[in-house]
Amino acid sequence: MTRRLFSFLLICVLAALPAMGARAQGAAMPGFAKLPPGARVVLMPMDVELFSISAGGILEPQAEWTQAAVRFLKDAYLGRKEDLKVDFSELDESADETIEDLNRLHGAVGAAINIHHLGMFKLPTKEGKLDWTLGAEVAALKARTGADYALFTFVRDSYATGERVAAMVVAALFGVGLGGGIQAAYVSLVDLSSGQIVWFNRLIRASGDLREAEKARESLNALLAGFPK
Amino acid sequence: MDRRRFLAGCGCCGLQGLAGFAVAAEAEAEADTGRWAMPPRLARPEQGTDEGGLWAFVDREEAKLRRSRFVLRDKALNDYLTGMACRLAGDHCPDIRVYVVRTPVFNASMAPNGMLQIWTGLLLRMANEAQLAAVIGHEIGHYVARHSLDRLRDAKSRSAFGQFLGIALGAAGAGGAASLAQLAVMASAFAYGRDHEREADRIGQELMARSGYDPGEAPRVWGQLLAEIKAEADWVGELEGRSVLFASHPHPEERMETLTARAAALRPLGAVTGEDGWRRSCGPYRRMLLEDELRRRRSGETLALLERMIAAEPADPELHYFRGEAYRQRGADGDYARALGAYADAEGLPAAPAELHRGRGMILQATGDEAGAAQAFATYVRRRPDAEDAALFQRHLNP
Amino acid sequence: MRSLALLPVVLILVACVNMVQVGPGEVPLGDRMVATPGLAWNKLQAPGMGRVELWTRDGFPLDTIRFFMGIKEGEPLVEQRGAKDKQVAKFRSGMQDREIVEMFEAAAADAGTVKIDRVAPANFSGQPGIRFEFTLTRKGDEVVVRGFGYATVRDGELFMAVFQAPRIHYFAKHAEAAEAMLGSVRFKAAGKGG
Repeated sequence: MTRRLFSFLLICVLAALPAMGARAQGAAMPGFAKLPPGARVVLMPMDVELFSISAGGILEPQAEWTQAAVRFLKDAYLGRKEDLKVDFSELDESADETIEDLNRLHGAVGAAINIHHLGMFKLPTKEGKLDWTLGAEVAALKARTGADYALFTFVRDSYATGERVAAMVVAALFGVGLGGGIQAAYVSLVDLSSGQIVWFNRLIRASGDLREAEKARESLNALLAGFPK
Repeated sequence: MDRRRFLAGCGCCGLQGLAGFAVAAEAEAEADTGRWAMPPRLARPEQGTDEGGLWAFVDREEAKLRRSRFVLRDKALNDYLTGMACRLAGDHCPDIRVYVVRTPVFNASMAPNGMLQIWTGLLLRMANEAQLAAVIGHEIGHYVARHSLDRLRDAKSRSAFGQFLGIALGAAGAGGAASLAQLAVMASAFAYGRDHEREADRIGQELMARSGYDPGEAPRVWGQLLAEIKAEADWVGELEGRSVLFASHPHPEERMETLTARAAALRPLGAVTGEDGWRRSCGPYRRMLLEDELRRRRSGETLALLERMIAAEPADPELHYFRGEAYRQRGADGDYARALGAYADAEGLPAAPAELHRGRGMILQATGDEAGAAQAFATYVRRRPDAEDAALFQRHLNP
Repeated sequence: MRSLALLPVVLILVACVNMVQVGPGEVPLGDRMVATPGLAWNKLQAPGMGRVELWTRDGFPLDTIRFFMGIKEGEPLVEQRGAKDKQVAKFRSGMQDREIVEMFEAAAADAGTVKIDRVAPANFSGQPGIRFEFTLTRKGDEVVVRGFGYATVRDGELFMAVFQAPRIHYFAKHAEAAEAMLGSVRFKAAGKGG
């Protein structure tokens, strides 16, 4: 029951947003203004997947695009070290069980923020505040990496092919709405001394492109708009 | 990558004793049948191609699966199953990576990149190593014949694949975890057509014969599965029209006949069924898998499975106990009496599970025999004072 | 184009489904029970929820209390998609305590791998019933959650409340408040209707 409801809510949120207009939605924890100078931020393994959408609405994974996007995003992060005054570093590959656990928990926390903070199902008891945490257990991550903050990145991006665009036009004539490409992404900044999510930004829009370095930088800049510096 | 090589390496090491035998069998089978030659190892396709996209995608799914909580990581079990897969796959051995996934459903699937998933519902249902070899040989058949590529290029399957990806997209925020729901849909996306199934059947049985497994186990596996599906349909009272197996696989009777005839024609070198290694490796998990099976509430299938297992091992008290549990939970007309009979069968054997007394107590209670129930519950709590539900029955100790 | 097509759907959702604050203080549960939580919770308000209520503090992916109020003879705890009638565990008014837990287990197994850690007699809403504890590895996101629930049968109907939250941080964060809240549940004095 809960699981079905939960995916239903998530679908509603994702479906509703493009309809309300593309935008980035950032939020910071009350009382959090900026990162201390020289803060060390570890980039958690990025969860990125790019697809093409063909005429029939079929999504196809595009391995080359995905690989390129991960590379562009990583470069774009590292390229903003100076300007954000943040020391980004990458997590080494060998994630242990504790880090896996935190990664999974962050997925659930991210879903909660998407549904209940940025989405339509606001929690009255939160009074509009970004107030979510991974708990004191993040101490393990701090000990492992020596970082002060962890940054989680989630991206799903799809691109309509030429035939798809044509199909959308035809469908619109019959009053049927077909999805073109949608970029859905979020980033989340976690304070590793408390586990608190101090900043969260979501981008859901029908534009943006991660297949080329320049456009990927634009997307990342949109995602990092309002990054606390 | 390292881990992948490590896994494959292990499987091969474990097999060295068998290698000579396998080669002899292969030569014999070649001479005997001369119908089919194993294709060479598959090279990684170019990135920009559709096949390359498929591999890269499946690679990432595999990376998730490797970290999944639903994968059983017991080294002995994995080595054993990898050894079995390698024995069948011959030269392809280094390309195959086995994952045992805890899901109580009959299924195995081999992805185009060599990721071989074996679900625990399948392990529970196989009587011996040769039976599992029949299923895995079939999957290796799809793999070496690269059927998934045909599927990818076939428009109809693409919508199923798209559905899978739709779920992958919908799982926004799942923290990069493998989703079993995803894997299940992926399995159906790779549901092959009848011609592919026939070819995979043929390759699978050839591989069995070449590796010294009894190819006669292949029609037996299929017969067992059909019997379970029929038992479930009889119990539920409708035909399982939606079954993937009937939709995409060749006609059941025809398939049985073909498999049986081919088994007779293959005349393999030796005909190993491998009960001992099977019990040693999978035995420690049987109780957990039976508990998972009971929770599915597919009484028809479960009872058909248990009756088959009991026919093979009539002196195993655990099987009688689970048969009792299946009847008790189903609770149809006459089931309570059958359950009591099964508990009694278990009790008459050495090392019977103490839980049979709980089951008996519950039935006696339901049928109004308060005194009998109290006695049974007291026996249960005395034997399992640390059971998770002992507190429910504590009061029967001091009536 | 897409925006226009989706607009009605969005409007319906916004109009009918939302979260409302309940507590602290006395809160009706359906029309036959009340709870008296010590702090404020968020309740999902949606059409067609029937005799089920869903409450949360930090959001449904994190912590959830599910109330099942008045499950009748022959009804399942949770509808299971794709399952035939006889493949779903259903409530019987004469069910024994252990069978109620088995029914919960079968429903939970649909969501992942479940293990019952403890079952014991306990009062729920002022009458004899059970308390059970469990651990569940969710299929969807592989998060391990812990939980506990209470159940009792009254006039041949099942009343159950189940709390669950991720084993990391969230279970410990909410367990005490959830325990107190479930302990505060009572039947309304006036019986049925209301």
